[in-house]
Amino acid sequence: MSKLELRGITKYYETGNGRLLALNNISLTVKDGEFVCIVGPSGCGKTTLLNIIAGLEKPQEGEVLLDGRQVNDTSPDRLMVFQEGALFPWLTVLQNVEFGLRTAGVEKGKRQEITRRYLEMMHLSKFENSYVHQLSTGMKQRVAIARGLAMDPQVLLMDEPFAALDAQTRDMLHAELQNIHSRTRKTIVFVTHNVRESACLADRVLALTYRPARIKKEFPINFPRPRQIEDHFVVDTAKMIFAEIKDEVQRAVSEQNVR
Amino acid sequence: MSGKSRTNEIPDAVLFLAVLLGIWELVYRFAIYPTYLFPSPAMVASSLFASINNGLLQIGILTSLTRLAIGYILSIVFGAAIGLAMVKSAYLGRTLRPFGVGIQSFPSIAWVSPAILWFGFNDYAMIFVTVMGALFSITLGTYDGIRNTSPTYINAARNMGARGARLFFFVMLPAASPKIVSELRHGWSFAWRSLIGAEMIMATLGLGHLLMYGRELNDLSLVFAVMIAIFAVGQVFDRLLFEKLQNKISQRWGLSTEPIGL
Ligand SMILES: Nc1ncnc2c1ncn2[C@@H]1O[C@H](COP(=O)(O)OP(=O)(O)O)[C@@H](O)[C@H]1O
Ligand SMILES: [Mg+2]
Repeated sequence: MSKLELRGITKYYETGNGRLLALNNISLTVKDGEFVCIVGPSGCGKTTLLNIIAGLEKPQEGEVLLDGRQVNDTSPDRLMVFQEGALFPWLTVLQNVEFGLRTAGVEKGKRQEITRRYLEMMHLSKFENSYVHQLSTGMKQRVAIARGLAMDPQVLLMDEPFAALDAQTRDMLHAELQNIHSRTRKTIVFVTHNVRESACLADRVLALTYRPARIKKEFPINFPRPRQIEDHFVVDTAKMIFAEIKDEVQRAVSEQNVR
Repeated sequence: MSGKSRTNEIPDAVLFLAVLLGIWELVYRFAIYPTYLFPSPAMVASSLFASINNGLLQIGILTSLTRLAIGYILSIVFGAAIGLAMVKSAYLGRTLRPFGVGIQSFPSIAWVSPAILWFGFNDYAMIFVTVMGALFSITLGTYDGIRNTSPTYINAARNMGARGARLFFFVMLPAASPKIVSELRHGWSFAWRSLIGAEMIMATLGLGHLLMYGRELNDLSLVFAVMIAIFAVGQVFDRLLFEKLQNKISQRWGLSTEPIGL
């Protein structure tokens, strides 16, 4: 039943002024089809954790298991939607979305069928021949999500994908993401510093401590979907989660000011 | 935006040329300098047509362009190879980069002396000097272009399964293309300068040789006519090839449409 499992992940960086412990002994399991949100203040290690799951960084200790098998290298079965989108500016929207399929050697007809399906799902059909710089930030993130979904990954990893968006666009994408999740039953690990967002989207929220990151507390969230960010149960849950990580946020703010 | 600046460019150039020719003609009319030291625009034009009619100019252009093409292609091959070796080996990158930057401000015409001793008065020597002019632009363009590629692009591509040649040709190279094309453009103009210099000294056909030939005949009209040809050849490639290529990349990427580089 467990799709993704982390066992005792510890990660540190050697920096100019000593060793920086980013992740301290993190273990977690994510069930098949589950939508998990990980919240924590900026700089606490969320991106590092996703990179490790994606196989883009190596932890010093611990292991990552997908369907019970240990994974090491990066692979499209754990596909990352990057914080800044990471779309290729030299390719059109269509070419961006089909990049991974092309790499996997999927033949042209099939490739375009899949690509167009996800472009349609993300309301991007009209823009398939546009270049990345011609799109708004919200559209870019939708392309990035379409690119992730087109690879049909076992686990979709999302690194604060909506952090740079205005409130209206973000609300709309919250709705679309929930819709996609209920339709595809993808396993999703979604990282954010926005507590409200996590309460709105997740089946389960994991709150991280600030440096080194440990899992401080888990919050199962069983409210019916689709949810909206201003729903009172979302707001209440967010308050509860925030109360738990308030100290961590304060520590993050004061430590980052000192530096 | 770019359309507007395009339509302005032609009349601007015409106006500039008219003023330039006007001043030139005026200075000539006032006879500040003797005619053999300061020919009129009309004299230069007739010299230009004469050297086209007797085929001298075409032979010069063809000879120089052939050398330039060979030298430039060799620069690309070796420049890219050295640049890639520097990407692969951190040691080479660390040591060769400052050396390359330094040698770019070194006047490549200084290579004429060793070139003559190594190769003799021939095409090989001139091509060698041309290569020394362009090589390091292209080396550094390749190296810096690839080195400065955002690691996020590479991570995204690797995450989607791209490795090896696919990663290199479909991600790293296009990601580096603005820098690479800009340095190819620099390299071309460096190669052109170096070659003309080498031809002036080694005197074996070519436009540089024609310059010296005009001087020996005390024929300044011919000298100016050849200078115009050198300018024109440089501009044709710079504008029709490199500028177009850069604009195309800038448009795709949404970079500024201002010309990058020179
Ligand atoms: N390559 C690295 N070298 C040194 N320190 C790093 C590196 N990557 C991240 N860090 C540090 O690790 C901590 C966690 O970073 P990150 O995972 O990006 O945080 P978040 O995504 O939660 O904002 C930060 O203090 C950051 O400075
Ligand atoms: Mg981050």
